[in-house]
Amino acid sequence: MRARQGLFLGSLLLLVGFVVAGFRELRPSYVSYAGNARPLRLVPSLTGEPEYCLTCHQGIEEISPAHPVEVFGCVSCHGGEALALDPDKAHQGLIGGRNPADFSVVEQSCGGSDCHSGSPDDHRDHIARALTSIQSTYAGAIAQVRFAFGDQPDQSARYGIQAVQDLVVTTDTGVLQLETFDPFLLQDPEPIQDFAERCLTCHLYAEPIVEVGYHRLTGCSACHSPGNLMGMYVGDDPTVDRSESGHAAQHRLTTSISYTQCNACHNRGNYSLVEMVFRPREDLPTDQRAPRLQDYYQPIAQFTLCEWELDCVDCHTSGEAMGDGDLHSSQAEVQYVQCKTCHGTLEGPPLTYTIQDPEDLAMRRAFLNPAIDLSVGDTVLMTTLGEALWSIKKMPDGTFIQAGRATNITYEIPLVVGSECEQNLEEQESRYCHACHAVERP
Amino acid sequence: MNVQLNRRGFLDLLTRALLWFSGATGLVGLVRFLSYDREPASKGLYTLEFPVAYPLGSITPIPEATVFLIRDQTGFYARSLICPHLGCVLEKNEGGYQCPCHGSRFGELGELVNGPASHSLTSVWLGLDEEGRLVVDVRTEVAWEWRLMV
Repeated sequence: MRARQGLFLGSLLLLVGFVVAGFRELRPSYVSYAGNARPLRLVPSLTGEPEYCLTCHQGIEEISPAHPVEVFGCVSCHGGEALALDPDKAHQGLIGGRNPADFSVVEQSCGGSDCHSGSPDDHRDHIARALTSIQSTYAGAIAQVRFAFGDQPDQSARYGIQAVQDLVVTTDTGVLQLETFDPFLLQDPEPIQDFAERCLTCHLYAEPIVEVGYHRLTGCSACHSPGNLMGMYVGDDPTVDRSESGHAAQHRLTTSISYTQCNACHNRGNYSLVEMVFRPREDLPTDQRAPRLQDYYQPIAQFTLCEWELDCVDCHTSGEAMGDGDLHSSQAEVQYVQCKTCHGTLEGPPLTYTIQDPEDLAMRRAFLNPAIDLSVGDTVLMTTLGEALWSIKKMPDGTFIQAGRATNITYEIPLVVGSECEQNLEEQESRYCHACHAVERP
Repeated sequence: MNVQLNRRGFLDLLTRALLWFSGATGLVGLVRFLSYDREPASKGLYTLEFPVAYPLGSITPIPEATVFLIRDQTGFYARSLICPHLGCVLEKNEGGYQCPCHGSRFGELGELVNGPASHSLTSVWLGLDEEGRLVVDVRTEVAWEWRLMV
């Protein structure tokens, strides 16, 4: 009798199981995203391994022309389970969650000698440069605060957000290595512990302040994945919640970086070293329609026209923003572009060089960000350290034309030489130019 | 015929019905699983025209095979249009080919002009089918100097 009951129950359970499986088969979870009735298969040419990520993520933007999805697929950078069709299973093993360019995983996702690391050339070893840059290490602020409170004898960098080494020091100010900054372990005084707790929010390892205007991703994406003031996704991936902050605006990587991206960290306020807290500006816009000058730049400062009409990347070089491969003790050691870099002096025009090699860095950068058409034989502007300001080209008539790297707007650069400028030859830093050329805030 | 179905008989019948139905449902699932239509692997062998269709000195793109076919004094050979850097498909430009992804450039015959690719385009195998038409196998790499003599 019991055997019969068992058989009956067993057969009933089996049937229920089959019915449930059949129902799930009829309407799998991915149908609710992109509406695909069948899984969408992609075999990227780089791996030759099938992936089904686009079944749900159909419509997502191609990350960049340099990373076409039919070549790279998704898993090369993001990891995950390529064959899974269930979101939870598919996302197991994702590299860095939503952001594979976070510094904790960047070597795994973006690294490799054919990609962004492992090259002996600093210009090609992007990951090493980024990890040693002052924006990642925050070594300058740490050194200066520790020095100010008597915890170290000078302002040379000893500590960074993460321990990092530089085996090949190429500049006079480069240091060999930084230890991890841990003021509790170092038994630093209380203000420095407060500094560590409250003020380390702007480096590239740090999650941003969760407020309007501060949203950005971490690691490489902090600069290269454009966001918006609210941190909301506005792209076409149907799986991303559009009411949730913490996203880039789109699934995109770019070297065409707008000033708004820089403003997620810069010009947003100041740290009070008396109270060891961040004091945000109270006059910042809550949307992106506000005029740029009055709403983004520090109210106490005056700037010349180009400084608030161009984008930061139009003048500041890759070496300044992303590091030169060395570990430095302050921002001042890496930030060196001045007005005269582009405008020259009374004595002569700015430095230039003529592109001789098709592999010249200027050519590579102009290829990735085609704001300007460059070819071998063109003459472009050059900084005092030999970096190409590749979007500024000397024309056959001797004028200098600058193309906005994020806007494609072209400008003719006025030169100091031959002008009515009364610049003192001994005073050629930008601050002296500002004395006459600054624009006061309304 | 009047069949009396008592309680035990009804339960027996129901059990059998459930078992048969479960078995049939499982069988449907099994058949669907076994008849899963695997998408074919990418095609590697492509049949081209007869050799006479490609005059001496010609360079002919074969888009479907992502190669270009060259005929010169030394014979026939084919170069892949897949960039040896990371695998993007090259585009024709003035004087050769350029990778749309990272800007590597190659000359008319596939020789490396500038990186980031570190070497010239791959040569792939060419042969003749039974009718005497050219065939190219994009999966089989051959030496740069390799030629098909026809």
